[in-house]
Amino acid sequence: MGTKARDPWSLPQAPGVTAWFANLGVTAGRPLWRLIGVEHTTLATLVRLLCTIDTRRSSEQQAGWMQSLIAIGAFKSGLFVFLIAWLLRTQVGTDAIYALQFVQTFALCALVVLNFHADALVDGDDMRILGATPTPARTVYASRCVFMGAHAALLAALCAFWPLALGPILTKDAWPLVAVPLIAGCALAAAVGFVALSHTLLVMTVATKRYASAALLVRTGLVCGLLGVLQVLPRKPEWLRAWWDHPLREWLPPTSFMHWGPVLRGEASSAQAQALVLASACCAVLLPLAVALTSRRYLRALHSTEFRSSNLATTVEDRGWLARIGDRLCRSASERAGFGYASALARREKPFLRQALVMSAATVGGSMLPLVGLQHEAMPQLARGALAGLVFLAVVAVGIFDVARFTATPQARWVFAAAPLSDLIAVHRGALLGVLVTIWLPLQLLAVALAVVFFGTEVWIHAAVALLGSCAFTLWWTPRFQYYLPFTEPFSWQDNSLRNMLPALAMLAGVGLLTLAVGLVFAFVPYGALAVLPCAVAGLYFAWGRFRSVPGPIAGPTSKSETKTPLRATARAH
Amino acid sequence: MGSAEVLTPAVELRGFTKRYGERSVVNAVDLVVQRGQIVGYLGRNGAGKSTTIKALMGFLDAWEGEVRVLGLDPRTQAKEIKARVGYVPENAALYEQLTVAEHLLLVARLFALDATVARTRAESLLAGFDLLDRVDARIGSLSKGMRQKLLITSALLHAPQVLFLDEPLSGLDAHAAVLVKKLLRALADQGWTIFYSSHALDVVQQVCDRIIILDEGKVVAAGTYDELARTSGARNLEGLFTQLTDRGDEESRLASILQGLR
Repeated sequence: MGTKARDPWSLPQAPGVTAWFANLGVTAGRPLWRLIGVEHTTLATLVRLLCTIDTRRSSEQQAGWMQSLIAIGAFKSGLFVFLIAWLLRTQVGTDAIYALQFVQTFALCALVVLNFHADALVDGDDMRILGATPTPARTVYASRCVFMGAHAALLAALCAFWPLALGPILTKDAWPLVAVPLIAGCALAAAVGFVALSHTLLVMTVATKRYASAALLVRTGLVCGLLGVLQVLPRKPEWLRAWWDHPLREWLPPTSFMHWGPVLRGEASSAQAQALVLASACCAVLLPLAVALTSRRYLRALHSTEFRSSNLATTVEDRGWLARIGDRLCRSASERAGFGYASALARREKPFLRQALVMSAATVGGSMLPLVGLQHEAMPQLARGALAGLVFLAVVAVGIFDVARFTATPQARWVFAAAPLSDLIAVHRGALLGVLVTIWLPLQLLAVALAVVFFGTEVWIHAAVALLGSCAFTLWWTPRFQYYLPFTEPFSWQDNSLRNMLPALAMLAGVGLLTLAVGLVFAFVPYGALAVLPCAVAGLYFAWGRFRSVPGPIAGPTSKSETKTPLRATARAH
Repeated sequence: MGSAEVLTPAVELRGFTKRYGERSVVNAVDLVVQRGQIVGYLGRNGAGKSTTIKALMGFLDAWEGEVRVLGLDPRTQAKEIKARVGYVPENAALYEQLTVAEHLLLVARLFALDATVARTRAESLLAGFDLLDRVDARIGSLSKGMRQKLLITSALLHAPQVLFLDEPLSGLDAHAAVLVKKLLRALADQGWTIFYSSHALDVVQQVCDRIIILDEGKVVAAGTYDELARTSGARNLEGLFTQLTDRGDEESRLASILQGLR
């Protein structure tokens, strides 16, 4: 029995649960739409089409992977909630886990919604497409709100599933079973409303042309602000306080770093300095290893090698001392080109980088207050906030590619578009090195120096935390960095898949184990640093060798390796 | 159509001035377009042509002077205006994931057209533009010319009284361009008003009843081609346009470009 062909002259009915939620939003919200002057029929049509477009776009981008972004988001949040709940259940054995779940559900749902679906809310092209029709702008915005709300509702349902599923196992109380979905739903509604409002205001303020660049900043600010508000609530409930003070958390990274002071032998300041050294060693080992292990095995250029060869002159003019550093660190022309790209990025995009860094530091500073405050309860709130901001400067610097990708003045993006580069993976390595040397390292030094000047030597431990934070951040983001190189095919949702995520998760687990091991070494071995450092140096040597030896294919649509050649196969051929 | 409505000009601008910050893009433009005319609206890049059309469509919200489309004020009656006019923008966007038919159905719904009427009309238009066999194709798979045909189809679908065209022949092949030119003439003969902004001067000369030339935001010439040619002595519209908008710096600019290429 064949399937009945759809009449092309009929509006498509978007499949799936998201469309069902969207339809529910259109129907159930009818009084609200009427109240604010939104035309219900037009709204229904637009929402239906947005769902169809989303389904088709998602299907195209995932190239047959058939995994929903929602599912990935739910998996991440579910896994996190489950792990924490399980740990607390085994270690604490109280129903406080539910309170924690509420908090985590709130934060993670909002985070996922903001990060993954904020783009669904405002499309700069909407009014270019629909502007000539008699459709009021408010109806278009309402349709986007409903569309995003549908995503959020589905996500809320999925996130609420975990506590509901765990409930019968972990407690005999019934109230969490009701409260969790309610709180998750309310959290999502609040997040969607907040994002809708802010993005709409953003579009009204900066106009659609600059929306893409501004949206990144706003979204970062929203996520960070949300987490900050969540963490700096002046009166923490008793259950949260109980969890917050539980000794178990001392063993969870990166908090465990902050508690090395008492564990380490000798003077407090020297012990903290050792902590900093160890954290640096961890980063030195893990950062390049992360690049080697989590990067995709091939890159494909957007332009042919011939095209890129046509205009190399004057694209990169390195400063002398920086070029010399690049020559020292990089072995091939492609690596040097990548290094030059990163330094050009840092030089040409100063206003945008400054804006992004300051804003991120200001917003995330709030979220890191408790982290810093735990170590220095007596430190004034303002000083702790400033310190946290400084620390975050270092953390966020690794995400420069991400920032630069959305720049409104993409001078740096074309720098290498015409370069005759044959080994794009090497360019990527060089670019990451360039970012580390030209942006990350100076900012780390600046943050630490300022912190030392203002707060004394007790900040070493925070510097260690910042380094570890940078490392974790990089582990998460490294697979994506290569797509921000302007001449390669863009990052797609497929690259955010479990296949690419799992190595990063494993690396994070590795960080936890490493900190635990280091803590144990220091607990039982006097002058533990002496025992640990050789291992770190050996690891660094290994990782650096691995990092430097990953070969890349000659890429480019018209070159011989137009087909995606796996790196390992290329290495064997070499 | 009532007699009062017929007497109302299709487009009317009185002292229309649009500023971005301190810079005037359009400066005190006065013009009246009667119904059933094809008016060519010409100017150098940045002369203010697209800005004028955006104001007429109600896309802009702050300007000086009086603007009317079919007697309606775009600032307060944009929705009513949009329901009666068609617009082919210079840089259009389309939802790439929709099919041709779905896009036209969407447009028809937004204009509150009856589904049967919309389908019949859309099929006729698509057949005319040689796109009927692509009705089930995704817009993302269409060529630039096909997209342009789709945009023109979308603008005509609700049978508007006024058409605003901003470089409508962009990307069209020679046959399609000839078709569109004939179509515009035929529509004007049926009483449609067409406001045609373009840099294709030969097309404007062939098609338009009246020509308005804008330079640095001001109207520097307005009239039929014959009137303008008689006054200026130019042999064709290109000569006339160059004469009116020339700043006498072509040679130096050419030298600058050649210098840069050495």
